[in-house]
Amino acid sequence: MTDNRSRIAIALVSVALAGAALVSMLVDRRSAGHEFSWWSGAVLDLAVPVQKMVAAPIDFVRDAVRDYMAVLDVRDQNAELRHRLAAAEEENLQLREALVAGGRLARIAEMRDDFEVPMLPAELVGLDVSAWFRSGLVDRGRQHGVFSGMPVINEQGLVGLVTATSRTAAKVMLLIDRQSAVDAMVQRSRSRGIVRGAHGDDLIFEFVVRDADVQPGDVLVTSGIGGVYPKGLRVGEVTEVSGSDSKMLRTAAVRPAVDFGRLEQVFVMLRRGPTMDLLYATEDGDAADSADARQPAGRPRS
Amino acid sequence: MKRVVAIALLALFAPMVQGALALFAPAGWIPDAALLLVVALGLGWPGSLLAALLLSVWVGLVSDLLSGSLIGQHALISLCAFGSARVLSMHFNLHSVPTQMALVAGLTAGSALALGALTAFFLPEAGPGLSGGLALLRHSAVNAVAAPLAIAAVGGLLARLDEDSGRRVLRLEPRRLSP
Repeated sequence: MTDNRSRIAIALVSVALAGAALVSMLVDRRSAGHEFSWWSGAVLDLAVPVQKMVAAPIDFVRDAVRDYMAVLDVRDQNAELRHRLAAAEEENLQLREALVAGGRLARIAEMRDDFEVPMLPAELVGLDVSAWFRSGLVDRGRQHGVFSGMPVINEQGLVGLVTATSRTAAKVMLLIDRQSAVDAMVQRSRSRGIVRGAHGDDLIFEFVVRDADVQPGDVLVTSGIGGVYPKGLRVGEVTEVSGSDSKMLRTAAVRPAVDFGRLEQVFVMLRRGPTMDLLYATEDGDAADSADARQPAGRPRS
Repeated sequence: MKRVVAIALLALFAPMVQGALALFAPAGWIPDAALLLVVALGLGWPGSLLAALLLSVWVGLVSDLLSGSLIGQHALISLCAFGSARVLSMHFNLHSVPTQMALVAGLTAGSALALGALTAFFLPEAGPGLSGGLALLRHSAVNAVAAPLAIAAVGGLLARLDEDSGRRVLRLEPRRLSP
């Protein structure tokens, strides 16, 4: 009798937990963009130092291996010059790092001039724990002025969009996530379409064939339409156009401008588009430059 | 209680470590810590079933927070994975390495399909569900390879924290009656 009762109780608890999970999904779908509650924000805040701690020794080893490989290359060179080359290589490595950083900053500065939006550098400390979603965690949050709906870029182009924030961390939906959709256009012909995440690290450009001029090698940039991303951010390059001309909707495979496999430093654009202001309600309205931020209405789509 | 706290902390930190390691490997090549933990609980949780159910939801919830999914998506799948592992362990002998690998490979594929179905249902504008059979196979294989080690590790931790092992034996001397 008692055994039966406990079985029924367990079954009821299981159903209640499953129901709660379903309700949570519904609520999250409707209210995406709310800043995390204190407890869930605390998990994200905790994740940043933990993930930095885990990544640090791996980074060290990786850098050491790279350095070692560089030294091996030098060894193959002329014996008389080996000593000088090794010294030069050492110096070169440091200078190269400085140049790369300088180049990045210069390109970011150019982009910044183009968009006139303040940008905040951030470090990607972790990627999605699920193999089926593509998001990342950066080490900047509400206390740094980062809020949901803000675009994230790097020197290569568009990285994604901030979808949730805690005090010191922010979750970024990457451009290659299936839920990501960006209004884009071909830089050469100005043909417009939607860039979506496909599986893997690729993108798909969907466009209406009637007035579209899309060819392999074309560069795609954000169109600015949709009010999520500023106009002119580099999205990717068309690699292949598929589908016949007779179809209304055609697709093109796109290689992202950003190398998502080597994503380290990113920049959060500290101003979001008008659509994002409509979608997201903020606790600090000034952070989003929005005086009349309204209640969110769903997940962001460009 | 010690067991519950230990597993709750493991559930909190394991996905964080997994997320950090994901920076250094292509997507799908890092084992799914949450799924492995839930399966290990399903196969070897010695305590109250209610606590195990709550723990499996917590495991999923942490994954939800560190993932791009809707909050509750991994929690629901985690609960189902725990239930599946528990029920299957009652009917089959899942102590051998091959059976554990097969179970985890199956649950990985099942959870991926369920995630795809839930995403398609709640976010239809996100496009069709999961595609990429090769990616699914690869991730199932990675999880399957890691499964025996993870299950053994969690089992070892649970055995170490066995609440009965710390108790002292009470010796009862037979009573002698004086003449």
